[in-house]
Amino acid sequence: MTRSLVRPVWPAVALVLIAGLSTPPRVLAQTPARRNVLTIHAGSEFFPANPILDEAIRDVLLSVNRVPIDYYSEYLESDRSGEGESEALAEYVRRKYRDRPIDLVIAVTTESLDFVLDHRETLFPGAPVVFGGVVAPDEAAGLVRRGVAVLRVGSAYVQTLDLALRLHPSTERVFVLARSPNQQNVESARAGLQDFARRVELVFVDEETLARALAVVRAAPPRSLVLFIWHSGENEESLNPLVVARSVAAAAPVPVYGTVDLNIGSGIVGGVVRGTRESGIRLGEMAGRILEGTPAQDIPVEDAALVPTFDWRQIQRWGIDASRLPPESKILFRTPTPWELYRPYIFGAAVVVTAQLLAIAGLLVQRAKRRHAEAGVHAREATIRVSYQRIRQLAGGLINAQDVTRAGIARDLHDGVCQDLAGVAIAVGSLQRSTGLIQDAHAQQAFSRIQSEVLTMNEGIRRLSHELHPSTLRLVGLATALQAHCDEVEKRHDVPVTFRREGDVGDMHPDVAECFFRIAQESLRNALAHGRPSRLSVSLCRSGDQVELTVTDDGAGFDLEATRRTICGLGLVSIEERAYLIGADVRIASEPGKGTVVTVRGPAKGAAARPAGPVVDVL
Amino acid sequence: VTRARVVIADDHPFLLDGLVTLLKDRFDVVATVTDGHQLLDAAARLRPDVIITDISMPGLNGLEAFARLKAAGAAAKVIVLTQFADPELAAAAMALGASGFVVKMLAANELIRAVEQVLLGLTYLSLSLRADT
Repeated sequence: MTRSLVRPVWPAVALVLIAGLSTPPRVLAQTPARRNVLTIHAGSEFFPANPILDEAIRDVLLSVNRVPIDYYSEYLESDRSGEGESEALAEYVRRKYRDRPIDLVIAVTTESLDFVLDHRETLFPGAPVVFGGVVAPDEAAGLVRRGVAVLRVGSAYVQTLDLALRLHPSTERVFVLARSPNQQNVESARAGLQDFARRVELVFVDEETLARALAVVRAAPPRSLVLFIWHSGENEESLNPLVVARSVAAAAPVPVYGTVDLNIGSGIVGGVVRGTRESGIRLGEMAGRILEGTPAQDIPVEDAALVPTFDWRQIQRWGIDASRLPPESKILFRTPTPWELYRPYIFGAAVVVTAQLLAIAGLLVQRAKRRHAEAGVHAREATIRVSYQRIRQLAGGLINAQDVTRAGIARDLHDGVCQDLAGVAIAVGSLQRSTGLIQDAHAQQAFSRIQSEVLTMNEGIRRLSHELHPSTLRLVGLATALQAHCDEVEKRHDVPVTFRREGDVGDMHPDVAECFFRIAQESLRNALAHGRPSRLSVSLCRSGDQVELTVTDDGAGFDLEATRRTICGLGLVSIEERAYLIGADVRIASEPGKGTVVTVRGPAKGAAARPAGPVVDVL
Repeated sequence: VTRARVVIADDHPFLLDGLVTLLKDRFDVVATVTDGHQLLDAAARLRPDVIITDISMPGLNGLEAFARLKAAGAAAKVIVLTQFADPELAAAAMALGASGFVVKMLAANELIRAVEQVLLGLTYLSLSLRADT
């Protein structure tokens, strides 16, 4: 099919080129003489590598060289032309370039070089030659001596298979497609690969047609590879290598490796290849140096660079670990990852999200702080509420205590003093009505009883008054008043109460003295009311400026904290508040079953007036 | 002439002595008691003509004892002898069926007349109370 398309092209191209020749070249005297460079290709113009090579050579020559150049290409099409046609092409070239002597010839492939060297004297007399193709080193040296600059190219099938086996270590069999009309190439390929036969089974596919070769490839078992070097079946010379590569890759159920860079992309995984364009550039550069004056004999033989090249899609398809590829590998058709494609967007989004997260975190922290503060406020509110409740309880307790005291006084007055007075009144009334003399025995008896009753009454009133306010305190001093109080308590409650004093406690501020007296009174009252003590003791000590009062009982004792929370704690509160007012400290030590010790210590002269106690403060 | 028989109830011994001294020339003081229960017991046993009772006494108070006496159908006239001139208390006592109400401080002047009056079937209210009302 390709043949039918390509065949008619030759005459048409020839006609166009011949028409072009009829116009004489315009040569300007001022410019350096133009140089004619001709590249001879072996295959047709449509052979995939040829346009790339041409373009690369022309690009280098036209852009780098200071010398103006006219560039031409011709195609041997040796794959489809016979022996005689080489002569026809020679004749065609001779006539075509009769008026444009060729200054430099570039021969691509051995066939082209053979043609150039065969017709050098007639077609390109004296022109240096640049050659790119497969050639043995010793042959290359001979060429250089004949004025041929050499760039060695060719399929690196050994390196390619070596790399393929490294990437697929479990490979057991390799199908090698290396069929060519050039039997010498086939033999050298087989010879070159022979070393691998020790590691894997090498199967050289030598089918006459592509279809049969594909059938063999299609049947490749697992753990095998295909090495595609080139394929040229009988009467299929003009097959486009790219089409063949694509067919092989499509047919093979296993990875296919190749040796031509242009085939990468057709479905083969890759291979160690020489870059076609890079080779063209090197050929152009070598030609340029010669045109600038360097003799071709002085240009060393060069090898075109080998580059491991891969098709990223095939790497993915066969699950090859990309990290095992040689570091200098060239990866083609790589699909950019989303990260590579959208990096700025991803980065921007990440920045935005991070900023938002930070903002949210900041808000959360702020909220937590606020809640913490609110909790603190609530806790304080609760404390204040509890305090307030307690104050109300205490206030209620105070009112209650006042009522109780009033009731006690009323009872004392009613049941004691008033009854006594009524008794006196009746007795006096009776005496008034009596008929006898005042000295009569019964009258004298009545007077005695009245007198005794009045004395008892007086004592009752005095005691009541003393309870209400210890008026004697200011007259006799704290120590004496306490001694008297202890005696009275002892007498009234029939419990031993001892009093002890140390140091001079006479010089005290009256308010401090009253406070200490009250605390002693309250402590004794509490002990007797709740503790059922068997003995009580009160001590008053002065040391320096400080006065210390201690009231001890061996009664039942009580749980201080529990009592403080109840209304029974009123006595405790009154002791503490009194002490606070004169700047004294109170220590109450009590435990159930272990009695109670109340200790008050404060300055004898009193403290500077304290503000009202905390309770009042809160209210 | 048979003298009226009187029982006196008061928890204050000195006062009780004074009352006995006051009344003994004119009436037979058949018993003195110091609480409500003793009063009930004495009233049932001695069947006095007049009972003179304080209100505030330990155990059964005067008014409670008085109510029980009435409930038991005692015939004795009752004079309530109390500490202060309290119209409410007097009204309550009279409502319960007391015949007399005398304030202690004025007992020397009023109690004999009060006993005589109630024996005649009249009621007696302390002068101080009458002055108040």
